[in-house]
Amino acid sequence: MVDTGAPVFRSPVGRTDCGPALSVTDHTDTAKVVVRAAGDGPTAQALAVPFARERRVALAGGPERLVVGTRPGEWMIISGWGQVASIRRELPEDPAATVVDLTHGRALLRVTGTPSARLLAGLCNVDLSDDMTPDLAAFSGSVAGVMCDLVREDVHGARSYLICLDRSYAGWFGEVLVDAGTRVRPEQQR
Amino acid sequence: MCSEDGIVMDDGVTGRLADQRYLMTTTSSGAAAVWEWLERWLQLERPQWDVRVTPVTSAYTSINVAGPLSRELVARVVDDVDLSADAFPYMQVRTGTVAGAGECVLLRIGFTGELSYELHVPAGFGLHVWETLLARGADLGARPFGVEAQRILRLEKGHLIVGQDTDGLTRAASAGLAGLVKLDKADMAGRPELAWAAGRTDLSRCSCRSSPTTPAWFPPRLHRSSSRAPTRSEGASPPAGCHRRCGGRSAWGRSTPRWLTRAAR
Repeated sequence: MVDTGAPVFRSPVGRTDCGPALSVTDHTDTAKVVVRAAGDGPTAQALAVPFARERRVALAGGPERLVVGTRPGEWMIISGWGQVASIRRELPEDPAATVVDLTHGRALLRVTGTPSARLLAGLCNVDLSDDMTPDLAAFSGSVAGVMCDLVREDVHGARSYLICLDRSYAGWFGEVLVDAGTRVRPEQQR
Repeated sequence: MCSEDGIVMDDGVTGRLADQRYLMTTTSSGAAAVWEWLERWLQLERPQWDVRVTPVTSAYTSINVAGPLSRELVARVVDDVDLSADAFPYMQVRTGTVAGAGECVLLRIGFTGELSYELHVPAGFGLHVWETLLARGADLGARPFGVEAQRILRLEKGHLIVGQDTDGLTRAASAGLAGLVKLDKADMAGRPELAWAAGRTDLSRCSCRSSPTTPAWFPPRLHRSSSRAPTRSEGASPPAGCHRRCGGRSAWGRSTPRWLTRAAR
């Protein structure tokens, strides 16, 4: 038996502090599973989340997991660390479905606070108004030049966005996000 | 990997991880182009195929453990894969746990011409595995090696780099890769061109040459007016792109990357 100690997970995201009214938190250590399947097959029926929306879903009686309709016929399931095997078990038998664990391939950041839309508006050209991207909306776009999947998921009434992106850019992207957040003026942060 | 006109466009290794699941590696700079090429084939040429491609470049940290003691070192951090030569021979793939990190992919391949393993580990554990390998291999003399060492070793091995040793006209046969082309397949990208090239004997060929003596060479065209070529004793070696000659005046080929190696000194 080889004893090398427990493997240590390291996130590429560094500092996340950018003010009292605006928080950036790193959730890169969450399980992230991409599922691709036919839009009318058993997997789509089990997930029951349309394209461009997100919902908390309890699959096969398991705990609630965040399911995001990222593309037509494609979903990302986000859950706690170490849950990939459980997620695989909870998905229905579907030979036409492809399930890929991207826990280590994607970084996940959350921006929360009233000025979070203002922060993101300065980094991307997506319309972040309530009409276009209401709570529970999922969308994709270039943020600070990096292709990202975004989810608006407000927390206790506070505007909040989950940002999922390629791990390779995450260290730099986190710095850009925090830097942009610290430049949001205090009166805008309240 | 050849394009439709039989030209070598990239190289890598494809491992079959399960009945219907494969992991394909490419060159570092070619990953995006290969993904686009695969998607083009799936979306435009074979839309009826039930195949999905997911880029996982960022999901793995890839570490090459190379050298005569590499098996001994890898065995110190892996205990669920039989690493013996019989159980895990060259060009085979296994999945297992490396330094406590599960879901790793081990490839018994290499770029240096020595006993070698590629360890593809979940990226979040990459630094942990790297530090563990160096710590466990300290008494074996394990240490990082850079691209320059790798490039010299691969040249001595005769392992080409697509895009450096090949160009936009290099077919598989010209690159010395004809043995990897499976012409008995009913269909594949570039099959007509590759079959045509396989039957020709007058095409240029890539070869790796070790020159114990200073070879005759023409400098690149812009410098052809030089009165003479510098000799190796003057610290020169044929520059990349220069024309080579043998005996008479006519050029018989050109140099691609070259190194003055310890073996050639």
